[in-house]
Amino acid sequence: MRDLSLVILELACNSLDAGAKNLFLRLEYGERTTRINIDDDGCGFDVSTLGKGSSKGSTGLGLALTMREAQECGGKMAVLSQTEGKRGTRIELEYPKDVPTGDLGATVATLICDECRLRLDIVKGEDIFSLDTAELEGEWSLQTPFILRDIRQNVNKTIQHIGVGALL
Amino acid sequence: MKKTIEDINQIRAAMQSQIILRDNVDPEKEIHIIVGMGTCGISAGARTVFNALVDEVEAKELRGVRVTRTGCMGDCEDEPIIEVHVPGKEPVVYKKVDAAKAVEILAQLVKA
Repeated sequence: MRDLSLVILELACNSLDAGAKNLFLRLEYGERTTRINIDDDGCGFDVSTLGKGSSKGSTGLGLALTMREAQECGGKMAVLSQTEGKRGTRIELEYPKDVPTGDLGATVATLICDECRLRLDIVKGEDIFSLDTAELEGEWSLQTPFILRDIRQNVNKTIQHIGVGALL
Repeated sequence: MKKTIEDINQIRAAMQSQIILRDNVDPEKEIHIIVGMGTCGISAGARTVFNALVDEVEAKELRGVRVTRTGCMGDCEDEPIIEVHVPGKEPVVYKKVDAAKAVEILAQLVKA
């Protein structure tokens, strides 16, 4: 993946495919690193199978590739997941701050199309940008194209404002 | 800087007179476009294709077109792949699609 927004899309799609109804994304831009947390309430999985493939095909490969990619560019990734008790999965990523964020707005818009609840927090120092689809429920569906476009632009404006190199 | 929700509510209010694309459309007459978005699809550019389709639906004010994503479609080397469902017809799969091709496919579908 060429930037963080694509990594987030990849991992969040896994969450949605695991039946998650609530998805929490947090990006924290620090002095030296960018930390990303992805929490979901999906069905979870057995972490020991990560990257080993399965009878169903290449299950778990995306996650294993993401982990290797993070390590190869000087970052790291941790996965916490449980298949019992609907506690879902938590993924923690840490990248050097030079890795570009990319088109995070497009990632968010794509995820919102799945009609899950999405909360996004972007944090840099004292600045916090929050978006919670649960608070946006209104007269129109969030999946309406013009709303998606505006959410996309809003998120990317924030990324540009923070100055973390959106590749638009 | 925490003003997103107000911003989006304002946008909503401003757009009140605009058409609502998904309203009053019979699901059985709806064109459904599915974009493959497994690891393979995402790295090949499926997100761009997906958003191009959503943008085009808005730009052309198309009613009765739904765009959704799915996981890996099984032919990773041909990604990005889209599957088009037109009511009453066999589904059609397009491979190695990019934003421009997706928009063209959508234009042809709507014309037909």
